[in-house]
Amino acid sequence: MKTIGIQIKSNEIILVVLLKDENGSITQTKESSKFKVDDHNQQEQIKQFRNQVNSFFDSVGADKIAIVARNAKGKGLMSPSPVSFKLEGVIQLYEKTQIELVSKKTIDAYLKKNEKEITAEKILQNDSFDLAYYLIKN
Amino acid sequence: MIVEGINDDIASDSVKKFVRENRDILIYEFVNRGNNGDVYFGKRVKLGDEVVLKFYFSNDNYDDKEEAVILNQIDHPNILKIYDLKFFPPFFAYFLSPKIKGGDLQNVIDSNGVSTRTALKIIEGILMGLTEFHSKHQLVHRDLKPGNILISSDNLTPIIADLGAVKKIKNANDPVTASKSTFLYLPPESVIKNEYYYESDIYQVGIILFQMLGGSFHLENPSMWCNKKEKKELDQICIPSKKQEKLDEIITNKIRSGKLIDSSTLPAHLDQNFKKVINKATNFHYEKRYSNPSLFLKDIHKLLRSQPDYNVTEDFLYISHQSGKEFRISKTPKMDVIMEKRADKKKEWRKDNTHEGSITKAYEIAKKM
Repeated sequence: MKTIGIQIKSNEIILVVLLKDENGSITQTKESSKFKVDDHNQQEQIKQFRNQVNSFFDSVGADKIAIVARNAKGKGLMSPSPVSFKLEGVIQLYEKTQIELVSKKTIDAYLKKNEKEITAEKILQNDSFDLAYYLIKN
Repeated sequence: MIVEGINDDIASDSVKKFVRENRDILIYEFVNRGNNGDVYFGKRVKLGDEVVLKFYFSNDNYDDKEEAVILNQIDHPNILKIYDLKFFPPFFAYFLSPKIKGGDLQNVIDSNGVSTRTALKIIEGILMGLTEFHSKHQLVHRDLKPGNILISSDNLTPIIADLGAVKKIKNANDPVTASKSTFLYLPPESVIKNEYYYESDIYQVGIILFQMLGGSFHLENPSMWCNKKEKKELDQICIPSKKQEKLDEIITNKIRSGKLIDSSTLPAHLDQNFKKVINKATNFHYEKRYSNPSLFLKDIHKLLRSQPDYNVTEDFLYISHQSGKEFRISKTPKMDVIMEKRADKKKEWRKDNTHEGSITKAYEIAKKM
């Protein structure tokens, strides 16, 4: 079984791919990656982003894909970048697998009760990793 | 129906009879492709579009390895479509596909060459098609080369064709055997161990990019790959067949040692990032190449965003930025460097001497976004 956890940070998305083998052992695959859009006003870059994401999802062939949900009503320092919602929309247009939105609260609550067997390879992947881990266990 | 004067004597009688009796398609051209079968080009009388009929040896027990059967399962803008497939007793089958106006990519490279931006866009399309092969159908193409990429002249969309060597991979880590179809494009693992992986297709796409960017790939004259010592050895052999054998051996050794693709032969004006992409895609170790088309695609997009468009013509090197700003660099017969620039296409070219006679500096100035 394979899962992809996605964290959207402004104009960049961080994707972590986890694989559970027949013995139930979980590993982070080298497919884990990140994609970004330098200028969201350029249609070509948005199309490139769409192609990258679709090609990535197709290549990985994950059973579950989800995005860490952000609070669209957040204000001040807590408000997510508008660009991130544009990227989220592009990701959600992928048709071959359902894309879920999972709140950080849900993930944290699960991980509080269930200790992780492995950790993310890079610190910046922590949130995406936790989501991919939550997906693979549920 | 067939236009008078078409010489298809070499085709089998049953095929000839079939195309003459078929009232739906007016045949205007015939090409014999040896073991790859007979190909007729025609126009559908009612629909008015141009089509290709490919006849090949088959039997009435189709299997899922047949090119046409594979093509029929795939629907993707970067992979050749199939309109019809029929068994044609006693020994032939044929499939009908659209004729792609624009010919194949090798023709495009040989005639005018392509600018870097066009090259990257073509690779983008090939990688999108490859994603479909690898992920949706678990297929490796095994014979990716410019001759097997058709280019639509309308919008330069690349279309992967010739699926005669396609094979299914059951497990991502289990290789299949290599195809012997196009020797120069074989990756090292195929020559050394007769193994072919998904990453082996990535290697072949890397070579296609290398060729389009102007790297040394001596398709017509492979002896150009030989060093002085090897050339001397070749010259001492008089029998043509033995000479060819020796040349094949030399090339095989270059593939085995990962020396066939030398990114230092890319044009000097290209940024190091182009070389990095070529080196990663054509890495000697398949495990170190892009592990899937999407990661290759990501780097292609990075180049599209960060690099200007380079276009080499007989007289000039044109460097165009997305802002509209353009440079052109040339050399006089005395090898003096001339750089000119303009703010956009409507403006006149004006000389720029800030390079102080240095070609490297001229490249640097013109490259800045």
